[in-house]
Amino acid sequence: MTRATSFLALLLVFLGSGTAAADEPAVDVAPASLSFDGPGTRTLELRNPGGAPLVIDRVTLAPDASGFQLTDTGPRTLQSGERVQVAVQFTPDARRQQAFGGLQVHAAGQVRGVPLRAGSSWLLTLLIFFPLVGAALILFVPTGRHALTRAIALATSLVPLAASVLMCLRFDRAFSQATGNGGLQFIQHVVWIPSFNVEYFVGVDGLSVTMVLLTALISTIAVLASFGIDKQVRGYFALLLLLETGMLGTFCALDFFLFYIFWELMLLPMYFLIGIWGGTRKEYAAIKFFLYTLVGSVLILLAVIALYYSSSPTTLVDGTPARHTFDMVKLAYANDWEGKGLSLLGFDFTKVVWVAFFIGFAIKIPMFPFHTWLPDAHVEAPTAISVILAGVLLKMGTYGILRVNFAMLPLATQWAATTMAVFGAINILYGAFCAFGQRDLKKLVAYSSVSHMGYCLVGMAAFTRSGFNGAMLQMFNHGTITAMLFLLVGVLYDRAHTREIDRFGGMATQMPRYAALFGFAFMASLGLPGLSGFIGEVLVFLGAFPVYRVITLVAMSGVIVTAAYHLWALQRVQLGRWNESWRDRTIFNDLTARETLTLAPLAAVVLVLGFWPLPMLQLVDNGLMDLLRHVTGLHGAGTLAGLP
Amino acid sequence: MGWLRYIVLLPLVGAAINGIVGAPLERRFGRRVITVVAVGVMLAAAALAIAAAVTLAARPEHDRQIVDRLFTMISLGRVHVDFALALDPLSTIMILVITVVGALIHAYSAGYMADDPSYWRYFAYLNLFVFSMLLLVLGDSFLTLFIGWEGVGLCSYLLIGFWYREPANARAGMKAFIVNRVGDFGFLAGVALLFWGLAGSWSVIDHRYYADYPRLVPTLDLRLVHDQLAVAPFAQAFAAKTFLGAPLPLVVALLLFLGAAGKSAQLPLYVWLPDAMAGPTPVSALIHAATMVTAGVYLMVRLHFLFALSPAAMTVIATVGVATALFGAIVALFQYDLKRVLAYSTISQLGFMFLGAATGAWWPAMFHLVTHACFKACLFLGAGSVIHGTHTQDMREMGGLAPLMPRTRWSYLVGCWAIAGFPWAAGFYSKDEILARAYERSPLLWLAGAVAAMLTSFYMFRSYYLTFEGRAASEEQRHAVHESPRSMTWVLLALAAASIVVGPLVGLPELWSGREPLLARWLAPVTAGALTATPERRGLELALMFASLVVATVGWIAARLLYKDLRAREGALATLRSRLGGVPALVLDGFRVDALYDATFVRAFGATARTAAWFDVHVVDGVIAALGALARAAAFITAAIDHYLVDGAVNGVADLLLGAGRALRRVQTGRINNYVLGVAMGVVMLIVLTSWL
Repeated sequence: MTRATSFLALLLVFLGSGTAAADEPAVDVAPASLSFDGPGTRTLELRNPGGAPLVIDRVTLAPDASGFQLTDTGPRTLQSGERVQVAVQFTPDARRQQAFGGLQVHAAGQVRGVPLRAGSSWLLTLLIFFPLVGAALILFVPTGRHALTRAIALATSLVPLAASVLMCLRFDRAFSQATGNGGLQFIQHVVWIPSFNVEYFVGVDGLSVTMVLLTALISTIAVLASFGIDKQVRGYFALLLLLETGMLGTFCALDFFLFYIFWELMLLPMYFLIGIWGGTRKEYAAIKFFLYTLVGSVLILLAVIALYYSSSPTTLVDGTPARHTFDMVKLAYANDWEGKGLSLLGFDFTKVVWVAFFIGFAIKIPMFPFHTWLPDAHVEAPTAISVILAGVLLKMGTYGILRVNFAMLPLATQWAATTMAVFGAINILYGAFCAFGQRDLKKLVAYSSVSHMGYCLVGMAAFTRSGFNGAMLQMFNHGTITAMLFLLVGVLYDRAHTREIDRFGGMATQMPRYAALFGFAFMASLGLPGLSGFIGEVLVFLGAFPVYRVITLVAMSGVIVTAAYHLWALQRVQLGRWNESWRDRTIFNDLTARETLTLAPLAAVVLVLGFWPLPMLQLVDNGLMDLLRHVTGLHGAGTLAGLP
Repeated sequence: MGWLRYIVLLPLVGAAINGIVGAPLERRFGRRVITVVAVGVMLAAAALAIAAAVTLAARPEHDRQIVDRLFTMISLGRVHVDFALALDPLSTIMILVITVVGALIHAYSAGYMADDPSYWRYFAYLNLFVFSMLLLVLGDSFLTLFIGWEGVGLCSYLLIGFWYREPANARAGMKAFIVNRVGDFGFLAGVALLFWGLAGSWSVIDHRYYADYPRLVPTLDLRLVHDQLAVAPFAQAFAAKTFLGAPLPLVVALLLFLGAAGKSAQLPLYVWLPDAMAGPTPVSALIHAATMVTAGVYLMVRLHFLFALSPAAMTVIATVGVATALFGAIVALFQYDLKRVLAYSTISQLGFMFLGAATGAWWPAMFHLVTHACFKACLFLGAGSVIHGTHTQDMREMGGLAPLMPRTRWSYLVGCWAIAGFPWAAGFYSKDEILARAYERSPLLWLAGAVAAMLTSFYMFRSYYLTFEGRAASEEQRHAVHESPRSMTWVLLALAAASIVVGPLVGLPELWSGREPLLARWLAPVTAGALTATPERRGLELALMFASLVVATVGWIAARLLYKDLRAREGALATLRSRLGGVPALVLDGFRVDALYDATFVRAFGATARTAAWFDVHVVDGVIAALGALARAAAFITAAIDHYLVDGAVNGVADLLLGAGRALRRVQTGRINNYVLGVAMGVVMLIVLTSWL
C-alpha cells in the first residue's frame, strides 16, 4: 500500500516540476463558469481588478469547444474597474447530450480559461462513488450488526446496477465519434488539479458501456454471495464496495491520472480481501497477486508518464493552455505519436511504450506467460472475490489494451498484431490443456478463464468488425459465465470444504437443482450454441479467420479440448456413483434460496444473450467501429463497411 | 408465414414445462400430466408439420418456400444473421419424419419409461431434443442450424447418460459429446472458410455480376450461399481459391463432411454411436437411428451445391460412405447385444446414405433417410419391447420369443425385410436407387455396397432368429416373458406398416410406374441443377434390381440356416467359429478401434494436459518463483550492504564526529590565554596558507 501511494507521490513530484506557478489573474471573470441546459445564450462579464488600464487582446473559444459560438472577440482596453460583457451561444446538434469547452481570455500576456458546460451528466459519478458512500456508511454500523452491514452493502451495490441499466437503456446506440464528444456519452469533465493538468473526466462509449454494466451486475452478485462471510464483516463489505468503486472508475475514467488512481484503488482492496478472508495459503496468493499486478502497474505508470511528457500542448477543458495532457481522448486522437518520430532507450518510442502498456495489461488478462498468479489467487480467494476477479478484473486487461494500446498507438498495435493473435491462440490451447490437468475444481475454472480470454486477444488482433465485436462480447459473456462457475464451485466448497474433483461423484442425485445449474454453466462455458459463450467465439472465428487463417484454425481446435475438460469435470463431480468417502450425505443440501438468487439472474442473461446477442452488439458496435477506423487508418465508409 | 415457428416452439414449451415444473407437477397430479404435455406438444407439432407440408404442396413448384423471421440475432455489416426458419421441400421431409416418428416414439416412451423415477426429466430432454432437431432442419442460416446441431448433441449427451449413476453410461455420453466436438471443429472451420471464401472471391468478379446480384456478399445465410454459388463466374472464382495449397471447395467440403461424419457416425468418428446404446431404447430409436444421426446426411443434401463443386471431395465421401457401410455391417455380424447390432447397422445404413449423396443421388439419399427412419425406429422399438419383456439385451439369453411376443415379432420381421431390401418393403426401393447410382459412378462402389447389403440381410435375420425363433434360453424366462402393453405395441405396428408403404408410396421406381418417383419430383426444386439425369438403361437397372434381391435373399437364407435354431446348430457354429480363429472376437470388439483411439488420441491428450499442468507450475511459475528468490537474495544482499556498509558508514561518520567532539572537548578549556593562542596560531596558519597560494 505504502509503495503504491509513494508512486503517486512520486508522480506528483514529476508533474510539479513541469508546471509553471500560476500568476495572479489579470482579469476578473463573472460567473466563474458558464453552464447551459440546452440551446441558448449566456453572458460573461470581464472586469479589470487592477489599478492600471488593462488591454484584452482577444476573447476566443478553446480549439476543441465545439457546439459553442462567440459573438464578440475584438481587442479592447478596460480602465480600472471597468466591465465588459461577452455573449456565448450554445447550439448543439440533436444527438449530443453534453458539450464541454472553454472560453479563452487573452490579456496581459496571460490566457485565462473560463469553462463552458452543457448538460454535464452526474450519472457516472453517482454510479462510481455510490459504493464508496456505502463503504463509509458501513464503518458506522455498530459491531455485531451483520445483517445491517449486509443490507447496506446490498443496497449500495444495487444502486450502481440500476444506474448502469438505466445508462444502457438511455445509451444512444447510433452515437459515434462523428457525432461529437469523441464518441463518448454521459460525460462529466472538469479540471481537477490545474497545476498538474489533471482533469476529472468520466464518460462511456462502446468500449466501456457493457463493462460498466457487467461490473455493476457482478458486484451485486458478489455482495449477495458474500452473505455467508462472518469474519470481520464490516471490513469485508467496506473493502468490497471500495473495490467496486475502483472497478467502475477504471472503466469510466478518461483522464489517465484518474484512470491510474482507480486502477490502483482496485488493487489494494483485492490484496486485503484475498489476504485476510482467503484460504490456507492466502498470504502467499495475496502477495503474489499484489506483486504481479504491481509490476504491471509500474509499467503502466512509466508508460503514462512517458506519454504525458511527449504529448503535444493543448488546452484543458476550461480553456486553459496546458503544455501536456492526461486526457485519454486527446492522447489518442490529438497526438500523432508515430509522426513525432520520438525514440526511447534507443528504440522507437511508440513501440517501447506500447510494450510497457501491453505487458501491464496482459498481466491482468492474464496472458501467457504472465498468468500464474491467477490460479493461486483464485484458489485462495473467497468465492465472491473469485467471482469479481474473473468476472470483472480480467476484463480490465483487454479493456486497457483497447482503450490505451489500440487507441493511442495504432501503428505499434498493427506492428504487434500477429504476436497478439499468436499469444491469444496459445492462451486458448494452453489454458485448456492446463485446465484439463487440474485436480482442484477451482483451479480448473481458473485455467478456463485463461483459455477463454485468449479468444478476446485473437478477436482484437484481427482488426475486423466481427473480431472486435466478438472480443467485446466474449469479455461480457465470460464475465457472466465464469461468475456462475465460481459461484458453483463455492457452493460445493461451502458444504464439503474441499474442491478436489475426485472426492466427488454422483452429486446430481443428491443436489439436483445444483446439478442442473452446474451443467448449464459448464455447457455455457464450453461454448454450447444457444448460450452466450458461443456467440463471442464464433464472431471471433469469423472475424479472425480471413486475417490469420492458420492461427485461427489452431485456436478453433480449442473447442475440442474445451469440451473435453468441461465434460470430464462435470462427469467426475456430478455423475456416476456416489463417492462413498462421504459418510454424511446430508451436508450436501441442495441450493439455498440465496444461492439460487445469485445464479439464476446470470443464467438468464447467458441464455437470452445466447439467442439474442443483438442488443449487446448494438451497444458496442459504434464505439468499436470508431476504434477500428482509427487503428487501421481506414476512414473511408466503403472500406470499412465491407469488413466482415 | 408466422405459424412456422410454432412447429419449433411447441416442443420447447413442452420441454420448459416438464423441465422446470415437471417434478412438482408429477407429485401433484401424477405422471399422466407429464405424458399429456410431452405427447400433446408432439401431436400438435406433427399436425402443424403436416399442415405446413400441405400448404407447401399447394403452391407452384418454384414458390415452395416459406420463411418465418423471428428476430435479428447479429447485425454487423455483412454479418447479418436472423433467427429465421425456412421451410422448403427438403426441410418438409425432415420435419415430417421428426414430428411423426417423434410423436410415435414419445407415445411409446410413455409405456417404456412408465416405472422410471426420472419420468419428467426424460420427457423434458426428449422434447428439447425435438426442438433442437427441428431448429436444425428449419434453421435458415449456419448459425441457427448450428444451434440445433449442438442442441441435438446436448440432448443426445443427456439421454445417453440418462441413467448417469452408472459410470459407464455417463462416460458413453461424454464420449459422444467429445467425438462430436471433433466434428464440430470441422463444421466451424468449414463455415469460417466458406465465409472467407465468399468474402474474398468477390473482388475477382466483374462488377456486372454485383449489379445483377446485389446480395452477393459473404453470408451465413444458407439460401444466399446457394444463390451466390449458382452464379457461374462467382462459383468459378470461389473454386479457384486455395487454402494451404488445396482448392477451397475441396477443403470446405471435407471440413463440413468431418462435421457430418461426427454427427452421422461415419468412419473414423463413428466410435460414439455403439456406446450411445447406453441410453433408454426409445432414445436410441429416435435420436440414434431415425433423426439426429441423419443430420449429417441432411447437411450434405442441404449444401449439395457446395459439395458438387468438388468432385474430389465427393469421391472421398463416397469412399468413406461405402467403407462405413461395409465396416458397420461386418462388425454387426458378430454382436450379441441386440442394441449393438442395431447400432452398427445404423452406422452401416448411414454409410449408404452418404454413398448416395456423394454420388449425386440426392433424392435417393433422402429417400433412404426416410425409409430408414421408419424401419430402424421400428426395429429399435421392437428391440426395446424385447428388452422390456426379457430384461436383457444379450441375444444369447433370448430365443423362442415369437409366440410370446407376437406383435413385437411381426413388426421386427417387417423391419428386417425392409432393411434387408425385399421388394415388399420400403428399404428395397431406397437402397436400390442408391446402389444403381453408385454403379453409374463406379461398379466397384456398387460391388462394395452390394456386399454390405448382403451382410446387412444376414446380420439382421441372424438377430431375428436368435431373438424370436428357436428355443427359449431357459424355462423360467419362457414364463417370465410377456408381450409389451398395447400402448407400446401399437406404435410398433404403425411403424411396421410405414416400413412397408413408405417405399412404394414416395419412391416407386420410374421403371415400374412410368413416371418420376414422388420424392424425386418433390425435391426437384431443391436439388435442381445438381441432379444428374439418369441415363435410360432399363436393362441395366433391372439387372441391378435383381442383383439386390438375390443379395438380400442369400443373406436371409444363410442366416436362417445358421441361426434358425441356435441350440440345434451349436456344434456347427462352434466349428465355424474355431475355423475363424480370433477374428470373431476382434470383430466383436469393433476391430479394437476404441482401444486404438484410447492408446493414441486419448492418451496423447491426457499426456499433453498433464505436461501442460506440470509445465505451468514448474516452468512458467518456476521462472517467477526463481525471480522471486532472486529478488529475495538481492534484498538480502542489499540489506547486508545497508547494514554493514551504508549504516556502517553512517555510524562511522557519527563515531568520527563523536570522537572528534570528545577530542575537541579537551581543547575547550575555558582559559582565555589558550584561546588567544589558538586564534594566533590560526591567523599565522592563514597567513602562511595565503602567501603559499
